[in-house]
Amino acid sequence: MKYRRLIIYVVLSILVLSIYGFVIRDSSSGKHTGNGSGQSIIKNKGSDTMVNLAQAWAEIYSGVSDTVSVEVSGGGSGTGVAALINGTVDIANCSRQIKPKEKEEATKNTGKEPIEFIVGYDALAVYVHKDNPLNKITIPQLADIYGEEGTITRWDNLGIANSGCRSDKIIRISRQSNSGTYFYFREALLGKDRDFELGSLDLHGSKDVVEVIGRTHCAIGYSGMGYATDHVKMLEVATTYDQPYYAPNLENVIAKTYPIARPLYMYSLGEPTGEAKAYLDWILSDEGQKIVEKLGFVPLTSN
Amino acid sequence: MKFIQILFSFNGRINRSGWWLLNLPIFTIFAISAVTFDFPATKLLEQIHLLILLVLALAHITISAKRWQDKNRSALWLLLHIVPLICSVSIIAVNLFSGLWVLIHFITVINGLWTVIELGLVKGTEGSNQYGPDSETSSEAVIDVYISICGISSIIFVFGIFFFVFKEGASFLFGGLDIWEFLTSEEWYPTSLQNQRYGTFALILGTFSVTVLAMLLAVPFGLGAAIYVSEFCSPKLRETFKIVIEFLAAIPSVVWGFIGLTLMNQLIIQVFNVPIGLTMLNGGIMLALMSVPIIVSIAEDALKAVPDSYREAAEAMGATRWQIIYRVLLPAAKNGLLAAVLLGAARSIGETMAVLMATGHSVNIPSGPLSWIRTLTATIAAELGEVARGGEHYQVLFIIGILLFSITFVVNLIADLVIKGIRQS
Repeated sequence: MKYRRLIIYVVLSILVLSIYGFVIRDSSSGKHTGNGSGQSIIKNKGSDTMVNLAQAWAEIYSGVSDTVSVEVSGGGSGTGVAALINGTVDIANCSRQIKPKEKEEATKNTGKEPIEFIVGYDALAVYVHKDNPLNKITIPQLADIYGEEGTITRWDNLGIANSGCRSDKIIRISRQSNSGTYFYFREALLGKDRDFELGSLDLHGSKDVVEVIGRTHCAIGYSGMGYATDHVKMLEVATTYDQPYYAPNLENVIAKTYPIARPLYMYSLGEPTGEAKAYLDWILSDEGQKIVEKLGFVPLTSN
Repeated sequence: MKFIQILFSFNGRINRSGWWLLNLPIFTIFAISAVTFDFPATKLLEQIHLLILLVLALAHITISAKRWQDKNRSALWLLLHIVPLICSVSIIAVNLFSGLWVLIHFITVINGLWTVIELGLVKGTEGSNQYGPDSETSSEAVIDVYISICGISSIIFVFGIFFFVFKEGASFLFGGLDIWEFLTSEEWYPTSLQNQRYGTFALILGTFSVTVLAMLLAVPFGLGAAIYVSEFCSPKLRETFKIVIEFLAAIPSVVWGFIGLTLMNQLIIQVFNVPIGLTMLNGGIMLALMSVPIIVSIAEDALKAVPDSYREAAEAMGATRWQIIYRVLLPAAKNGLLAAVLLGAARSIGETMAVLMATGHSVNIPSGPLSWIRTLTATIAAELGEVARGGEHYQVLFIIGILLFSITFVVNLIADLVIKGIRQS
């Protein structure tokens, strides 16, 4: 008898929940399309590089406007663009530019063209172990380290004696081959015609790259400049050997002298209107840009 | 026949427990669908989903009709809760949330609760009525149907998963992919701008080598531990051991990966004097640690299943303990032991997160336990998140999924044949 009563309670709650589920689902999608009343929701999804930034924006924006709540999720630039193509998000975050094919598909699928906003910059720092005597490097040298049939395979080739690395072989740390970071770094080094040499360690996150380099005397790698720790060293970079070297820092990136900094993008479907427009405007304002700087990225202009 | 009679026919009667047993899963599925309806899915998935919901709704209606008849009332009583429900759903669908409509909603909910009480709690008429004999005799048939649905659904799930993985990759698999190159080339350049190459040879070798290494480490330890636990332990110690071993199995794979990335990495650097410890050896050790608990618990069960009379007979013949194990127990339990090893191997092949973090994830033809490798599973895990849906690269990742399916299928098939062969001889 006891159990029967328990079962009845469970079933009743499932029934009630399912009815609620239908109501909540429909009412929330109602808000989404603007039919309902109360809070409206901006759905924001994409790049893992930007997910912390997007979350910080969303959190602080909830204090700025109490009629809007921003739902942020990560999953990668590709995931964000895919959601944009399916029309299931309002704003997609992307650490690479959208591809023409994806743009075409989105236009075909939803009838609206994705509109691009640059919301900040991410400087990719070149990292080595902190005991590595190397202090600066040029883009062509990096291309020879990472590129297919590159000629630099030993620290010796760079003219330094890396005593911590017994084998003297350079261990290349890279990212999985379709992350926005990987795309950008490859294009900055090699242009569009060449590929990276296989055999690098393709780690699965900006943090892992720095973590592994901090433990490996022979390693070189790239990651966002906000990820630096005490165990690694950021190199100064020059476009060619006769150009000046620049350290990855705010001034150099804003002045556009540091050569490997990339824009961070947000895409909306069609010209943004209403709440989405207000949100994007706020992100581009001084207040939104301050948050960019706080999270280790580079704002559009210096304040 | 019984199947259709119970799920989709308006004839006959059904008792209260039968109504609950069949309706609970239906309610649950509806509740889940209500919450996850927004989930982005393909057109086909959506249609299949709707079809399933329709079939379930039909089943619910006929089951409830039989319940009314059980109370010697016409099935037309069903209209009492179906009509308001349809009203209510259509109200939600067009977003009317005011005044009268909310009242109608409210009535529907009350009505629904009343129906549940009426159908789920009130006993049917005793003895036979105009719709059939006493329903208390129908329990057996309902449970029969319920159990067979559970069995069939597992088959449907397996085929469903295979179908969807296959469907995602099919158009590129049959249109454009050079399968020979896919299997034998080591050039994995899925995102090259000029010349995409999809060669998985290095990845296949990576998966195999790390699995073999893991098995070399895990099988002796696993079987040894199983023999110790089953034959040498005191009963009290055995319980403790089993709990500890099961605890080992409960550690999530990402934690193993983290241990590989930090602790084991450092250890391998120091012991083997190599520049970096993210190697096949690292991944192999992690996989071995993950598959040992599986091997131990299944092998221990297999050894325990050998009848004690075997042990007694051997002991009576004057065999030593080692001879009993080596000559009697191991041959008698060999099917179970083989199953243990193969399940351990399947765990290793399918493992993703730990190998992604611990093996270096580098496209290399492995040259020894200290080389960096990349596995098939880790490739899917690392690249699927950022790939453009529906593109070539996306499809290739699904084709790798098909490849993994086939590898596991072949392993299982071989295991089946071997076990059958052993049984016959």
